[in-house]
Amino acid sequence: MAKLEIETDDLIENPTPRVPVVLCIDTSGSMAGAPILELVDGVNQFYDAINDDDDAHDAAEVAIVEFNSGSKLIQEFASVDRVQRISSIQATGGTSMGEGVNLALDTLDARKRVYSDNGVLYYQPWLVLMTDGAPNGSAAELERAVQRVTELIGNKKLTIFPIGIGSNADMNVLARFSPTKPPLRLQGLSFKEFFEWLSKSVSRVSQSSPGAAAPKLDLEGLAGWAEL
Amino acid sequence: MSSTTEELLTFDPADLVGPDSRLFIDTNVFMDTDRTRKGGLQQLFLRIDEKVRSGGSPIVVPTKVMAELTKQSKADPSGEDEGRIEAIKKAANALNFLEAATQRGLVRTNLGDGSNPYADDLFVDLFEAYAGKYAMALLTNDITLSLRVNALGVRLDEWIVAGRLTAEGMIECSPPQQLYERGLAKFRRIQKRIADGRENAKDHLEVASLELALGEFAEFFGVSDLASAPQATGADRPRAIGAPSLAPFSSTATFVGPDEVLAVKDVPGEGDEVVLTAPGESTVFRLGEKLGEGGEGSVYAVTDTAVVKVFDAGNITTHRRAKIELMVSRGLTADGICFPHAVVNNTHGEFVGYAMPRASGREFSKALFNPRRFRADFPTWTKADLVDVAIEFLEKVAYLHSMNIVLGDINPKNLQVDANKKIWIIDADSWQIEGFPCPVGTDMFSAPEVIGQRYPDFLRTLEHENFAIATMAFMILITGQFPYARSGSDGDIIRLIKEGNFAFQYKEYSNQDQPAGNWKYMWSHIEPTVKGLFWNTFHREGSRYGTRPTAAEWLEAFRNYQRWLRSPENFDPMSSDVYPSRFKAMARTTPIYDCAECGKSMAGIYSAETGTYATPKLCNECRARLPRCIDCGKPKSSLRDGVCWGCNRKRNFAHCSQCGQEKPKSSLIDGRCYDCNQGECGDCGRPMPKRYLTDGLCERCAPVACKDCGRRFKKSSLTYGRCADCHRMDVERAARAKEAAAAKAKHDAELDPERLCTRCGKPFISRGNVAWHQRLGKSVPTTHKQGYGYTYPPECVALPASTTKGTIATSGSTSTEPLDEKKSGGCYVATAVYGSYDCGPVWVLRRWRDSALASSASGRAVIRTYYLLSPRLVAALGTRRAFTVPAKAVLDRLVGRLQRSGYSDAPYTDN
Repeated sequence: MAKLEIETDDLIENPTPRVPVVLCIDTSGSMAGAPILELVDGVNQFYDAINDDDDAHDAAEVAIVEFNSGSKLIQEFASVDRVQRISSIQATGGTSMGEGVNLALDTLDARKRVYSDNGVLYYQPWLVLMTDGAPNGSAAELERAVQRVTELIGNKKLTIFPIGIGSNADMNVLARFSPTKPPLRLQGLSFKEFFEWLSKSVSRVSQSSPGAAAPKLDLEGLAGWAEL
Repeated sequence: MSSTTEELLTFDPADLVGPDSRLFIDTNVFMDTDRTRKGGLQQLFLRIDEKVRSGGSPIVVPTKVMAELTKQSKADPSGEDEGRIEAIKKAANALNFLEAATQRGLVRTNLGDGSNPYADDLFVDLFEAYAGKYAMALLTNDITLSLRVNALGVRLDEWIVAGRLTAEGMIECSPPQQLYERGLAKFRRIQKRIADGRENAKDHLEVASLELALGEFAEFFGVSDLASAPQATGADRPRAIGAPSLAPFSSTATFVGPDEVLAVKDVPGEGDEVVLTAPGESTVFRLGEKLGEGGEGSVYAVTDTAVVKVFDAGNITTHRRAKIELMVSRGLTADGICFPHAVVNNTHGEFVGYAMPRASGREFSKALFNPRRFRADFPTWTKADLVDVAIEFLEKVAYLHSMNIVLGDINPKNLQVDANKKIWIIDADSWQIEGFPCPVGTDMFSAPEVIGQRYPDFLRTLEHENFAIATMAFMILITGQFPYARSGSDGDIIRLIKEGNFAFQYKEYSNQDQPAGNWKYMWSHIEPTVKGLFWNTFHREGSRYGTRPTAAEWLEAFRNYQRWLRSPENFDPMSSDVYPSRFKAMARTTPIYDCAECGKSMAGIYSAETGTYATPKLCNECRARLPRCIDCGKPKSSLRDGVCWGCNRKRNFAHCSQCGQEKPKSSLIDGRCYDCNQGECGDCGRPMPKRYLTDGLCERCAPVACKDCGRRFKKSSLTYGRCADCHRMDVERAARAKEAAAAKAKHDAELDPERLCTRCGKPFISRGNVAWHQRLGKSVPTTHKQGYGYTYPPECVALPASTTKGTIATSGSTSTEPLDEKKSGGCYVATAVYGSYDCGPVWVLRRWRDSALASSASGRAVIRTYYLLSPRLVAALGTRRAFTVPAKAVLDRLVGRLQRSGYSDAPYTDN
């Protein structure tokens, strides 16, 4: 109860419009070993980068959903002061991407309701979808997830960052989630660079811009580590 | 008196009644009937009272003014309009008041004599004579006199002002331009009257005086009647910000068209050399430490007081270069505004950026606009400090506007503040100057009419800018909350702005959508006029939604806020806090107290119904910790069986289905209360619960069928179930029957002449006795009855046997039973029980036998039966106790009863 109160106080006392970011990450067996370790490091560094930037610190709220043979919320939405640094993630099982994305969207919906109830402003949420393989969960769930994501993007209610890790990532499936821009493939395991770029992008959301479009995310920042 | 003040000045009269100052009041102030300044004089005297009586100088109301008031008060009000009548009344009242105030020492009325024909001239002469000796102020509503006195102040360069009274009792001096325009308007009005031939006696004199005053005023204040172009008059140019001598930029330039990126050979960075070019000089500097990085470029240190902004490659454009060059060429400098003072080129001579003063402090977004950071950065600040920040910001913006610079991209990252409340406006390169647009913006600060458009494609107007100014002023006061934040939105800022649904509560505009948190308390404590201005600007139903207040107007409102915070009008001490923890107290009289549990400040809650304040002991937070009622779930300090008073009431009380009043449930019958159940008989009017009425009638008045004729009548009109007619007939019938019975009895009692005693030959038996015997199937006696000892009554004189026998033989059966034997046989059982035929109980029984039983046929039957059975019973049971004891008990009870009914136990002889 007390914890909830503090969280609510924090939520309503901070007038900065929020950028909710949900990381939906593949923790299937194929990620075991170096990839998952690098990913955990990258996420923690993401937290640090947000923490160090005043703008991002006040704006960002991060949640993490993992999917393998099932899907699980491993970090509920919270400001960077309250997120738990991740010590390790067990990578095992299949790739239930549809279930994972649906859980991420459900978590987002719930958070948006909290914002709305409390009169907290927010920018359109970000969904970072990372996988190193092809989905092998329920086909119906996958279809539902694709449909929900494309609909949200169509209504400008969501920005998606589909990221393929390594050469086995199914870029075609990722592309289905992203009707407006092609998915990115991480070269090697450069999670750190990606997350650094992501945290900078959070702070850029509130910057002045020429208008008439959502703040342009500096894709140039991706050069050198990503290929389109 | 400073001649360059552009804004409304407000003075506290208490400051003008010191030993070295004098405050004068003109006649028209006492006769002012303007509602907006109502009560101002009262307030004024309240303000000065203490000061004057503790060694200050009384307010001066010259003799001439007293004379004018006396003259006015004696004017004939008949035929005048309402305003004039009121003014005349006011003059009379003022004289009364002034007399009292003089006695109290607050006013002196003995100044001057009748030598000056006009009070106006008297004032001017007085002020001129004592200029330099005293600071002098005149309260007057007369614009001519106002112009003259203010012009005098400037001419003599002394502290002399004329102003008007406010409802708060303050002295208000309008900006020179405004004064001048008012004077000019009056001048034209009178001129028109003269031209139309409608002038009155004084108009010619007045117009001459006014013309003179206007000329003098215009000369000394440098104002003109070109008010339609405010930037040309300097009326909007605030004091002491920038050099006022510089001409503003063009306000009529048209959009120059799209921007173009300039290609450069290299963009210098930390440690690289750059060339700074200002008018007349060119210097080479090495870029120092990189201080920051923004969306368009990076800022480097060059000296302690100057920095250089170098644009990123794609942001070095023709517009930027032109704007920077334009500003640098003007040599603009102003405190707290980062005007470019040199163009910065790379070593190839290509434009890459500009040099500007080094701003101090931190961006608003990082210092002010987050309560957590604000508390950490400025722990000692109060609301007054935030108002100061807003004023600083507004002054600078107003100055830029006076130079025809539109900031365009006002946002919390382009404003910096330090702990000394020093404000810096940065990012000059984005400003809109002449035909060059401001190419960027943020949604939050974009007016609804331009939001969503591409900023580089159009020139913004001041009206657009005024939206950003209002938003920024709001966010400064409330430390960062966005005006349009509201619960229930989908977070879409563009939509929120376009909807114009300002959620903070104002007057009767009650709103359930205020964002959660303490913002509503902060809003509640904002000074009323500023609050009203915000609401009217932000709410789509507000009066200023279409024509937003300018920076100058906000400035005036915030200066007033500053004054208000220190004035007695600010009665709630919490209004001075940056983060109040409750709503503002409603009025000065509202009780302010502490929560009994946590000590948090609380204000009474006014109820318009009762006209009183509720003062709950606990604050909402402490209340929330109380146990909850199991019915309504609300926290309550006292619960009975887990249920609060109200819910217990709900449980035990219900509303009458008819009158709606709340009554104990147990008192309701058929859902109605006692009163609503109470009815009255429609016929007899007897009050009675409705449920007892049938078709509106009580039981007595309800129709019932007569048991004889079957017709229906009021029950109360029936007698023994019969209607009046039937009853009468019944009574008659009964009388007839009684008569018949009496006749029959008489007939029966008569001796049957047909039956003659066989012994004496005379009638001896009544007809009734004969009938009785016959009815019971007994043989009818043939002779007189024998008494004891088998003797015939004396009247029965035996006839010679032959005659009697023959006579009686015809009369049927003959009796053979020896009745006399039984009679003399006595009481067998009683004798057996009591042991004697002659004792008290037996006498009682014998009396009863003879007087009661023997007098009726049934009684005689009992006697007969008894005498038939009892000898046998006694013979069989005799004197056995098993028989005598219970039999005695039965007989004793019978005897007792008989004695009580009057049978004596005196000795008795059978007859």
